[in-house]
Amino acid sequence: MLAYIGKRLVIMLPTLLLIMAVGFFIMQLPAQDYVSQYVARQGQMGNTTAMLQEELLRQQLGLDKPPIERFFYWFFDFLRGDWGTSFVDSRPVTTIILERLPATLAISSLAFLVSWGVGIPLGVYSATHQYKTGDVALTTLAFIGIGLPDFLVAMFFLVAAFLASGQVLLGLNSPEFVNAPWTLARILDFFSYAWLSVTAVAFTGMALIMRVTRNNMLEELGKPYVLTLRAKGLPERVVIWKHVFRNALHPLVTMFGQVLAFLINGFAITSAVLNLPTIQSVYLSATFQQDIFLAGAILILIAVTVMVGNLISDVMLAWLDPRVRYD
Amino acid sequence: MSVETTPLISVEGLVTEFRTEGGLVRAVNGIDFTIPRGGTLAVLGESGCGKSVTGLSLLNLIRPPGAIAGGRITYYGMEGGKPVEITSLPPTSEAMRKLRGSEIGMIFQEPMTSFDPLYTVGEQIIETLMAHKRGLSRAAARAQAIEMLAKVRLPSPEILVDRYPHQLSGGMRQRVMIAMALSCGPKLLIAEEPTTALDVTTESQILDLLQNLQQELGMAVMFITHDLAVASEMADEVVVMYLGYVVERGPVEDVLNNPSHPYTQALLESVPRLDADSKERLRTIEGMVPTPDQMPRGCPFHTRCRHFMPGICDTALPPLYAAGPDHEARCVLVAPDFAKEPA
Ligand SMILES: Nc1ncnc2c1ncn2[C@@H]1O[C@H](COP(=O)(O)OP(=O)(O)OP(=O)(O)O)[C@@H](O)[C@H]1O
Ligand SMILES: [Mg+2]
Repeated sequence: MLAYIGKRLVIMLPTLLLIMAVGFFIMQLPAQDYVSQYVARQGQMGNTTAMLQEELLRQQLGLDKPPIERFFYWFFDFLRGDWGTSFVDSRPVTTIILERLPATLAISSLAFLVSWGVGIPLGVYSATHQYKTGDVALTTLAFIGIGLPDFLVAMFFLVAAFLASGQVLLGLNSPEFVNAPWTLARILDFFSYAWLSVTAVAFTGMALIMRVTRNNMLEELGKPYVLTLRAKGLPERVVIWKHVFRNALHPLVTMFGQVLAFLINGFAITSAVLNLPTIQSVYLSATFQQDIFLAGAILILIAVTVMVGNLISDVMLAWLDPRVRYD
Repeated sequence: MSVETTPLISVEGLVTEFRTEGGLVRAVNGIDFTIPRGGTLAVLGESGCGKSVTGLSLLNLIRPPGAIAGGRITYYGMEGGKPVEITSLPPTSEAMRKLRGSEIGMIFQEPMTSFDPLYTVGEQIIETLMAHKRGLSRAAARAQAIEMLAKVRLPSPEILVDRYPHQLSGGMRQRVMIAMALSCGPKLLIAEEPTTALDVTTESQILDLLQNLQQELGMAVMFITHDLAVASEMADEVVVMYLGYVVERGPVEDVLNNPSHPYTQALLESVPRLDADSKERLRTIEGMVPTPDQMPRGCPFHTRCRHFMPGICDTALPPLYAAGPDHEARCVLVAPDFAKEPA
């Protein structure tokens, strides 16, 4: 097993290299770059001097060099931990990411815990009570949750919260707390905002997990081995949780591979809509503005989490299923 | 009745139905039979006649949309001799669960898909033992599991016990299945086409094993099969089913040498025989088995019967008529007062 994990880690290195190269060059593809966008914006505002400085700006930002050369500079700096400076707000990319990491992880791991922690038991309940009232209600709920994008749910909650309390729950803290230290008061304030984004994101996530769990459970319940288990007189609880549920976990574990990436890359639109100080909202704007160092760094983070997530889910599958383990 | 005179299990007027989109399907339509202690009953019939549903009904394992809708199944094998009426126990009750596996065991047709692929075969035997024997330690259960694997003549049982189902051959898996079903010492084993999925050599080994174990352990066997040769090799008594009805029953030699129901006759004629004249043509039964939701009126077999008599066979269901000592058939041709057709 350790050898297998080691082998997978070694294969990840060239993959990562490839992603970095491809990602970097995709950022260069549009005919306009950051500077031409900047100059055009300044021009619209009546500032014509920016036009004259266009080449100078490019030189300052290093955008006048050929892409290959820029890639290698960027690449080796990246390895040394210097992830470049954001064009937009002139601060180091690492600072921007680190600043947003806690809020991102807080929202996304809460959403993850709720959606999996609630979705799985509800899915099992639904499958073991097929066509009964509870199952019909849950299936309808899941149908709605999967049909509605999370940002719509978030907007709905936003309006509902406003109508109920007159509060506009944008962001993750009241204005007076935004730069305050993390006291108990700020934490409470955080939760009074965070519940909205967490519930909106968790609702759609839970709907999906519930549906996948229910479908897998039903598929497994129809298999002949379940009849054997019942015919030998095992208690139904053991049949369901020890056997059927474990067999039904397979696709969930595969999905689990994407969870890490979801943590920093899920609900981007919701983040933008709710103005959350998360990595995903800055990733969206950085991509649109061609703030290439910032966008590139986040892209690499996402790629790494996808790869690590897949590795974890493969290891879990091997632990779960002897047919994978002994192939 | 004393223990000596009661059967091990008796089935009276069992009706098992399924609610389907096409309406109510009667998979089992009022069947009666008994199995004596240590005896072997073969349940014979074509695909879809209700053999599996009968077997599962005995274990009260019919689940929605199906249900036992009528009749009575009584089990007389309990310690102390108190009869248990299986049909009056709720399928999910604790009392019913305790009967399954410990009093009545079952083995299935498909030894691959009948195991949970995620656990070792040993674990699957151990959990059976521990579900029925209070206070049995895991180590003791493991020792018993190994003992059972040896009993079904598997080589190196102490190694096999830690193997996963996919690591074993079909024949080995069926042996493990038998070991698992017999691990708690049931007095009745329901064997649901246990050799259909196996090759001929393995089949005869498994049948031999079952016969030896039956003699050794003294259990009764209900052998579900569509194979006449297997039925005649394994059973004392046979019940021939068609569309959920018992159409003929009796001692296996009588029924197979002297079939009285046209369906049994047709079944026998459709079997190739090694000793037969090669020029003799095999007869297949004409027509298709009607689906149970289009149950024919009268005798269920009349749509395919070569002795079909309009006005008689398609009006009323014939009762079981005596065709010999202990031998009955559900056909008016067997009725004592039936005026035989002029030759
Ligand atoms: N779960 C179910 N839902 C609906 N109908 C069912 C169900 N199980 C069995 N039946 C019906 O009961 C009838 C008898 O089925 P059963 O499985 O007992 O046949 P069988 O004699 O065992 O056939 P085979 O030799 O193919 O195993 C079938 O016609 C089938 O339509
Ligand atoms: Mg069957």
